[in-house]
Amino acid sequence: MLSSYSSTESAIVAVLLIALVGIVLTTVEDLRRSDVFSPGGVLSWTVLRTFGRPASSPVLRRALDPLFRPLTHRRLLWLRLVVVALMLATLARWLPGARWLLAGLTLVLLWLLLLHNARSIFGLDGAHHMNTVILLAAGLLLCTSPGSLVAKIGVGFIGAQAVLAYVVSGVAKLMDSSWRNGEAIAGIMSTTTYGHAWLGRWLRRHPKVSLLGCWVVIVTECAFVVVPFADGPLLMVMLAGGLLFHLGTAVFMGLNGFLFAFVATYPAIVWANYALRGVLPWTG
Amino acid sequence: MHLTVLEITAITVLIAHFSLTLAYHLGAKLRILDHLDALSLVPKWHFFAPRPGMRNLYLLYRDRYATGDVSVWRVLHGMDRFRPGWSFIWNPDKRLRKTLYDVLVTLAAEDYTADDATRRVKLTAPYLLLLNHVSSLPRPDGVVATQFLVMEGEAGQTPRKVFCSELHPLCSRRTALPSPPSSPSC
Repeated sequence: MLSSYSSTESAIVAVLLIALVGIVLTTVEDLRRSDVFSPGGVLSWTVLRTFGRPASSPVLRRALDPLFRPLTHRRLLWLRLVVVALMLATLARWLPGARWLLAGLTLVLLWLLLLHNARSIFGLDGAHHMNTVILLAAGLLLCTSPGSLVAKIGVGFIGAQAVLAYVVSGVAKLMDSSWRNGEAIAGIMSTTTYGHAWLGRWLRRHPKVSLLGCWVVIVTECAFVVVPFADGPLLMVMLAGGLLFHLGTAVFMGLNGFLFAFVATYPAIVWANYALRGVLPWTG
Repeated sequence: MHLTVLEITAITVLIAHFSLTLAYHLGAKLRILDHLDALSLVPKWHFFAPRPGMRNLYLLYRDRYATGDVSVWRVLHGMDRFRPGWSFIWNPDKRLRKTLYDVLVTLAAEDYTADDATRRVKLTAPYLLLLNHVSSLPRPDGVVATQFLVMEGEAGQTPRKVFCSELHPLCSRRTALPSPPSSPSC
């Protein structure tokens, strides 16, 4: 199964297929709650345009004002869905194998996601960041030939960003006393924003389980640093653990977007592992 | 190996992006990071760390009527309730909750000990976003002013006040006007 992702083409197709499912989900959710982006919403452009770069740049403000009108914003969310549909059709080869078409669609989708960055840094999450990483790399590598140096660096970039994300997150947790003493998971699960009523109560009653959970998360995330060099069985175990972790955060924390955005990077991690182990002398 | 201009550009962008992401998380102080961070173009990978959010944040508002009566405080957007069970599949409130969390945390992090704190905070994006939002809510006739309240608390504990806005008059189109405020009386 791992050798399925030994080529950059198969890896990036798998990455995009998984990521696009998550992007569709988040886009439909945003359409359902488009009131958040309305003039009276918490992400009102009426207010946001008076701060930061738009406030100091009339040119930027004039460029963004039409895009963030409520009706236009909804249309751009629908455009995301159309672009994803075309990408899926191209990936499935229902349309003629048009690499340039896929590259263009990917970069358009990246632009549509980055519009949210231009609007406000509030409301962005890690899934959004990982999706932009994926689309940036995919868009660039699809502009070049299959198996090119850009393709290898592009897929490697996705894998490297994913490993960096896990390791940085693990180290940051290791530096905090509430994670080391086991309070963090019980505390987070007790919040209404990211928590779960039953699990929060249960973990507060069983602090040793929360302590174990905190250290499992810390160690697993930090251990991702070895994933690019791990042998087949260890790699599968680590990625399976990552999948279970993201399933858990989706179920208990509502982070459904993270499941797709981060699992989407796994084919790239596998490709990077395959490429590195073929080069490094001390690996099998 | 001959590389085209496009390939060199693509490789440069990817290597630069990764390098800047790594530099950011190593604590490097680079001006380019500040520029990129203004648009959140540098991914932040330290999830729920180093200081995980373990306290609930609540946004409340109340209105004053033309008669002088004041309504009770109302919690907005179900911030005192957990997500429904199906939110692992369908979570349309995800953006709203994340935005409110970011805005309220930013507002709560302000230094309120300085003499000009209140005047300064009223000009910040979080304050104006919340005021604009609260002022735009549908409400019955007769309401002439509104104010919002931010509270925080851990599970099982009584929430404490973090910040209370002044009363802001509402115009006939339900938007707040920048006129001298009434006493906060929070």
